[in-house]
Amino acid sequence: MIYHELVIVGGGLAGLRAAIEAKKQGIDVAIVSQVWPGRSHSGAAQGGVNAALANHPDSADDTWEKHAFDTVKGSDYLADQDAVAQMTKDAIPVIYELDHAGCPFSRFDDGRIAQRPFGGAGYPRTCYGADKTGHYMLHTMVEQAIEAGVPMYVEWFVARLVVDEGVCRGVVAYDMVGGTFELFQAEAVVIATGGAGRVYSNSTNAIISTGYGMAMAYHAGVALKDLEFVQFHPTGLLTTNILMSEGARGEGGYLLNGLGERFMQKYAPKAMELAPRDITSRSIQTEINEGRGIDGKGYVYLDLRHLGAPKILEKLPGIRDLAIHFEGVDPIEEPIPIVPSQHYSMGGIDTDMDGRTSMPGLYAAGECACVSVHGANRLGGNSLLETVVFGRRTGAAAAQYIDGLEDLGGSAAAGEEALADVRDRVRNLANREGGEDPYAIRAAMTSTMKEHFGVFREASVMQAGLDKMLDLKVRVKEAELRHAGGVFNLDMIRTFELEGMVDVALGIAAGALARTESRGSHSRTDFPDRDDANWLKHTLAFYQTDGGPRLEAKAVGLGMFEPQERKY
Amino acid sequence: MPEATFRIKRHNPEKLDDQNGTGDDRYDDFTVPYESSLTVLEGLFYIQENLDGSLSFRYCCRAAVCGSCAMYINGTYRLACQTNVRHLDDGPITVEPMPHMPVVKDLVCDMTDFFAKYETVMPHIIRNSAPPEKEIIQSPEDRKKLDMPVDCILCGSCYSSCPSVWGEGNYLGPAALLKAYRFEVDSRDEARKERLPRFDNERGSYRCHTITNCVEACPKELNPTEAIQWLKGAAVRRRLLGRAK
Amino acid sequence: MRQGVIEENAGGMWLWLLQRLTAVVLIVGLAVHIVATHVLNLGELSYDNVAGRLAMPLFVVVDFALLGAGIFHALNGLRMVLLDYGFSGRSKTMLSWGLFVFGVAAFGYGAWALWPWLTA
Repeated sequence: MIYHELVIVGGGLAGLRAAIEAKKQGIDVAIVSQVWPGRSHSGAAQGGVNAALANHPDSADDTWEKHAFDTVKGSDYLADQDAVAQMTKDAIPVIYELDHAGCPFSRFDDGRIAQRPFGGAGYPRTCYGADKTGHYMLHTMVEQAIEAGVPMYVEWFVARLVVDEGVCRGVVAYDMVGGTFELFQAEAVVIATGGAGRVYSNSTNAIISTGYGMAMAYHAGVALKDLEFVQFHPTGLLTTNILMSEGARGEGGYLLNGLGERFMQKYAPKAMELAPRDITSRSIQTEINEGRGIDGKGYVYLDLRHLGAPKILEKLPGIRDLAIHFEGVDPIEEPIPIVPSQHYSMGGIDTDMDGRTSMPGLYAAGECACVSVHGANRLGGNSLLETVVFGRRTGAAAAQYIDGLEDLGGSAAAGEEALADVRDRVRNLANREGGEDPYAIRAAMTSTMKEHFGVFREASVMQAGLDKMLDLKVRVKEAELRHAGGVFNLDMIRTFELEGMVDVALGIAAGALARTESRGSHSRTDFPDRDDANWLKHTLAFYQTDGGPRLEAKAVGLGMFEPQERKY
Repeated sequence: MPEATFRIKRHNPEKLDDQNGTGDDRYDDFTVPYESSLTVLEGLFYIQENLDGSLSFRYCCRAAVCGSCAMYINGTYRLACQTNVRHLDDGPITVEPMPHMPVVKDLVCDMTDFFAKYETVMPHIIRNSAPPEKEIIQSPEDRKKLDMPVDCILCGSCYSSCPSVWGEGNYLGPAALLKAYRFEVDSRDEARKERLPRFDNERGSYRCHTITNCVEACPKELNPTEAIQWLKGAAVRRRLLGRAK
Repeated sequence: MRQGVIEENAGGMWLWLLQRLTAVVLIVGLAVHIVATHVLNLGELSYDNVAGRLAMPLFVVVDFALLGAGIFHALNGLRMVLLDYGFSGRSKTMLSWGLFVFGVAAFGYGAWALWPWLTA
């Protein structure tokens, strides 16, 4: 048994920031992460992080209110406006704090932090470090956590929560190197495990972005919110779906169809390539569906050639390397073939502005959480921002919660029970002979989600997808483990993850089918319009052992900006 | 459909007690079919999913930014995710864990020492004055000095390839020293003599004999050797010439 | 922080710096030596002539500098090579002292050979 007052599950930006904040407040906090924290998926973010610093010559009169407006408009008015205001206000000090911590942001000639234009933003307010902003921020945050002396349990896979009479009191985790399951007792737990991109076969996300953290909370009875809103990034590499940053268009890149046209002219004549991601992805998909892909095939071009070699080498070196290594295309010489690809889960664990869930002692922050600041569509540059702003707030709230507790010491009985439950699960999986192949189920799930819950959605297609997913949920309970060894058992981890992924995917499917409107990333051909009268509300999904989730509605926080039609 | 043969070095710590205490070390051959393109990492997943569920390896981003999957592929340090089998020589693809490191299981090597050394060099900014209200001003020229070192993904290739590390287990190694350089060269860092003693000795920068294996090994094409040479000079400038930084 | 990585007696910098400085002395000194003996015509090649030259104060200084620099550079270089073969901690200290003693002895022997010109 291991005891810490606060256990943070996940070592990405949100988890690290939460840990640092709790540590500052004198809490005994530890990070438990499946990978060394510096390898977390936060590091794959490229283009930048938004804050109304007003450093750019064209953004001298930028304010956090304008940032908030762009965010709310981008969200198709589904974001909670008080949370958005908090985030955009905090953005400015948070970026300075990162700079003071050594984050190597790119600079303007006067030595201030450089900013670039980004999709859906009225001003160039995206602070960046070349096209590796996430990598720089993540390493900076790891360094800060090391300096603060936060203990890190590296390569520990958290398998389930410990819940004692409705209160979260720890986790059970698999020590991948040691090969055993251990109980972590705690007064509170923060889930910061990132998104669920890997439930789709065409995701830009890291392989560990399985949504398992969401599933743990979900299985423990906490609602997942707005799962149906899945962001498709307009520019993923054709063969691997690896991200080509929005920064590429921010620096002036064009999108071209098979006829060589800058087709965004038709869809967003003002913003052009810098329309928000939902609109840009739909535009690309429409071109492809109507036969205007390159050579009539299923992709279009991201063309950077006119930017010239010096600009590409200075501002977009990472993009160029990725295109060369993974697509065999040098953007200085040739246009890059791209397709819209699953990129971000707007939905997640239902939390308030301080990361609190409905379960005492359980908190969530980052992509796995849904505050909601992204509503139906996230603006580029707001996800890195969300991790640090809400990571900090969540760490502080959890620390305050622990300070307010009378009896410390965890809950031994509930912990032992949870540990025994996980060990039983492994034994059952290992002893099942002739069971289902977990990787066949995984492949069926990811292709179902891609085919049935993609950029454009329609009732009959989604119904067929939901039926498939319900069938997979039955099958996953019969999955069989091929390898029962203790040390670094990928087979076990991936089978555990699969059970969670199927439930999260079902949540996406059920929410998407239920929402009879088009809003942000959720675009239905059978209901093409936004329906504020009936659907200006969040979806809450509650886990049920059999079948899909039970859905409820939750009001949206309005007040600052009246919903209007979105035009770019 | 083309096929690739993977020859994978295996090691099972749970079998250290039998088989003459070798951990069942052996090479296993697997045949992986593919359509037009296959990375080594995709091949490993194919094997783990379809041929041998007990295979262990590290993975995360599959886009060459996280540093998880550095391995020794056909005798060269590579990121498995960034290595396409089409670009390798014909014949079996030999996949081994990074050499000169203890092995946890199969392709997973023990990085404990590597990260402990990284933490030793105070891998964080040191400020001795109150921060300004806004950002710390840094000229584009000063920022440019960071371009190389901040790209390090701490994959461990350089560390595994360094003969000075093989000879002296207490040597910090190229990655930790590159990190020290990253902060020593940052105009915003105000370290006086906090970090200096951590690397300014013969288990630190002076252990580097400019063999440049690290430069060859680095999958991000960085140059730790050059950084370490700079650190040697920086120590003289600061200790003997009394320069601030 | 990892135990054992930081070496407390920070002589590393001095040894490194001296290795660099002695390298410069050797390069310059050997260049002068080669030029002086093979290129410049410094008069008739006879015992008296050469002995007289060696007794000049400048030559005495240069010869002793070359002797010291050569011994230090060679032995410290050898030490660097040997360190990569597992000398660490106590064995490293012993190796360093051993080479130091050998170096002092070698210098003494060299100085003994040069002594006649100093007193000539």
